[in-house]
Amino acid sequence: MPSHGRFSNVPMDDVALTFAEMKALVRGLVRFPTVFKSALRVKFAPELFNGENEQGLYLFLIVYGTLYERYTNVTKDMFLSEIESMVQANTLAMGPVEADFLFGESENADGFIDFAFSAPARELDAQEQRAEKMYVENILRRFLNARLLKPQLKQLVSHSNDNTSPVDFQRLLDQFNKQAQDIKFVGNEAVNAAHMPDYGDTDKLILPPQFTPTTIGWIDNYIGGFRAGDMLGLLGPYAGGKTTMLTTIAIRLAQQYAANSHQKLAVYICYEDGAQKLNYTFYSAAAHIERAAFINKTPAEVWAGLSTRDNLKPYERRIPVNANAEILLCERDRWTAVQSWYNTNFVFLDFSANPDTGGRGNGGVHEIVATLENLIAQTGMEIGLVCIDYASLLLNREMAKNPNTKYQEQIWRQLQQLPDELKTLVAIPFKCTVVLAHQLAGSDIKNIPAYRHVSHFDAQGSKSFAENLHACMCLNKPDTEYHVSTINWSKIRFGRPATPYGLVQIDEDVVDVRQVDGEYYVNDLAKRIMRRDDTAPTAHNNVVVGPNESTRRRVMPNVDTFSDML
Amino acid sequence: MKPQGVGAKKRSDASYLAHDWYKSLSDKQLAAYIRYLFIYFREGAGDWDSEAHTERRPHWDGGKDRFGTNYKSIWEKIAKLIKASDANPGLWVAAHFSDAFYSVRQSESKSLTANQPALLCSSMSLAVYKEYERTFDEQTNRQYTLAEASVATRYTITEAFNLPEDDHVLLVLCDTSHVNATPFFRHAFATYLDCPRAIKKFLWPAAVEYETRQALYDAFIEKNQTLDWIASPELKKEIVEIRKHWSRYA
Repeated sequence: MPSHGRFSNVPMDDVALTFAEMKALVRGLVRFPTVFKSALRVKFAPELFNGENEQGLYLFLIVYGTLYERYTNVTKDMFLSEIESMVQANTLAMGPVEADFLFGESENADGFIDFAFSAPARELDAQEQRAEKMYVENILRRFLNARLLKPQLKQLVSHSNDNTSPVDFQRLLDQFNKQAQDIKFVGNEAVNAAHMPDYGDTDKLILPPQFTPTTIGWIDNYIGGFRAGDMLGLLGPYAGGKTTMLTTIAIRLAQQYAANSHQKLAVYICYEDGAQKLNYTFYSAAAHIERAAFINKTPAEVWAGLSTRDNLKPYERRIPVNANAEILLCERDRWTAVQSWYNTNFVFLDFSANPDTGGRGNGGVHEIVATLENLIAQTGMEIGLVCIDYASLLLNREMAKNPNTKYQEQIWRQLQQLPDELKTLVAIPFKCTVVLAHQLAGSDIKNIPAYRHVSHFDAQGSKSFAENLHACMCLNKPDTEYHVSTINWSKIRFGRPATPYGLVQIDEDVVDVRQVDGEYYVNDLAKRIMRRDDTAPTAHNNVVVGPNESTRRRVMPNVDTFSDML
Repeated sequence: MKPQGVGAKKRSDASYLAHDWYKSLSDKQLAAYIRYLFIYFREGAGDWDSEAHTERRPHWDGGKDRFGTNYKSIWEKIAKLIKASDANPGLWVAAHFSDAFYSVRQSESKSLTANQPALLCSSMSLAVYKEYERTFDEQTNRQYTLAEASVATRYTITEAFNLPEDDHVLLVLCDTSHVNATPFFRHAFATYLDCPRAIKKFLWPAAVEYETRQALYDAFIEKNQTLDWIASPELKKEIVEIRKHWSRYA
């Protein structure tokens, strides 16, 4: 049996068609009339079965085609009656070899007619039927290329001498090109994907995937949670907290999968740094241990340094887990409690192209797909979330390895296509959510103050980065006073929140991101982010009168007050 | 001078739970009620004898500031507009601290500023109020779903700590990072899970949240009978106390 596809170095179309495939093709054409109809449109004809031992298939298609033209649907009984009458009327010449092939060598043996009209051994579900149809379409494409297009091209080339070319060479080439395109899309019948089912039909009613709350306020309060198959973007400036946000998302989702006994994985793929530089961030996010506990320490020092209930560290009194101020959990408690779900539901894929991992991280989206497939096979779990940190490094590495794109400086087109590629190759097939981090353009972001909201139009490399995203959250740089950043869900393809704006506080010490709209607000007049109880400049309709009554002046813009109308 | 309350008809506690309880407030009481709520929502100061509430703010309360400038009280103007609009004053203030406020402001291309009393009697105030009323059920439903999901997740995950049940619930409900819930829902879950310390901890903020939006919460509960536990008798008792305070305010 020849090896095909991704398991072979030989491209699929270079493998010669076998007789078994020819039989499968003819049987497939009987089973899928739309494929047969589509094949007829690109000049498929029984005469193309002109190889050795193919006479039987040729005769079968002559009879089948005649009946199909007249009645559109062909049954086995119709076929048997028609072939009998055609043979009797001498319109079909059939030798003993072909008769044995079609009807079987003996009365008890099945012939090709039985095989072609036989139903599958068991009822196939929609997915299996789709796979079988794709298999037939693929053989049909190879068959048409080999038997229809190639001989015509050969004929065209062989008819002209070395120093001549056919008249209207370009037109002929265009014609072949058109035919090649038609063959490429053979079987692609138009299907109305928005069929309205009968009332009460629960099988055919196609609904959008349901939102699963992430338990993260700055996501759920805007988009309601994550949906399978969604492709989300996270834009932020350099060193603005994108990795912290992605880490928080991945860890929180892993925790949620564990809590709800979902056999799912939250996968974090980083192209920037490897395990050595990131693991302590994940530990910090999961166990709420300050990152300083891992920095410049030997493993023995780390274990010895973790706090117990008797010697809590000062920071532990302010972390959200201990906000109750009564039951204070220590670092050792927290480490032990998270270890089980962390190791089961969270996976970090080191794609930083370092030698320890065999240089992983140069293969673009296809490398991600292959690795995720292996991950599923290894763990027996589904993929729930894939966080990718970050887009331009993924593309640049892949382009640098490819001779055609090695010296290409602009990545705007690839960047624009990347979300679509990730959606079609990862999010939809794996039924997971993909979150892709990307940088904001340095030149734009440096002119946008921290209290402003940024949007996906400020993305680095391509203004159209968010074109193929279901939703995109944009993070500005943190303000210097409170380390609070503005967020803007600048693109949401589903629904619309009351406001796309919010504030988050990114904790880099104990990795966490909290929504803090209740504590801080953006003050456009003061041009900064302020605490709610800060003294703020006021803007009201009163005219401030200075100590000298003669210097009446308006010091602040007027507010559209309604009070004068009362 | 007659002492406060002397000669007044004794009012039943149940009457304070009526949705139109504020109609019996005098202009001064209504203005004080609005002032308290505004400062509570803006600055998070809960105690009504805290400095945030007791300090005089001439820009808002009227009088002379340190430059000698005279101001009129803004609270009475707000109260006047609320009465003219036949609106609920608690809901009016709450609406101006909700997403509806930003939604309306953004649709009218207004910039984001510190929320100040003048914005509670602006030309868009009625629109903010109506928008808040319109979207309340949807928002509350979403808030409940998110609160339930986050409490359940955190509760399961923290079982690994093997804490006594009461400690366990307190730990979960006080978590400000993993649990995505307003004080009202934190209190509701505390009652549901019978954790006295958490009930006490969230009682006041939950009571203010419920008191201001009582009419809409009650209508929401009416439509979702299975959620009748979210407004506990203890919470209702607390709002009676709050309203008694304002009815006796002099």
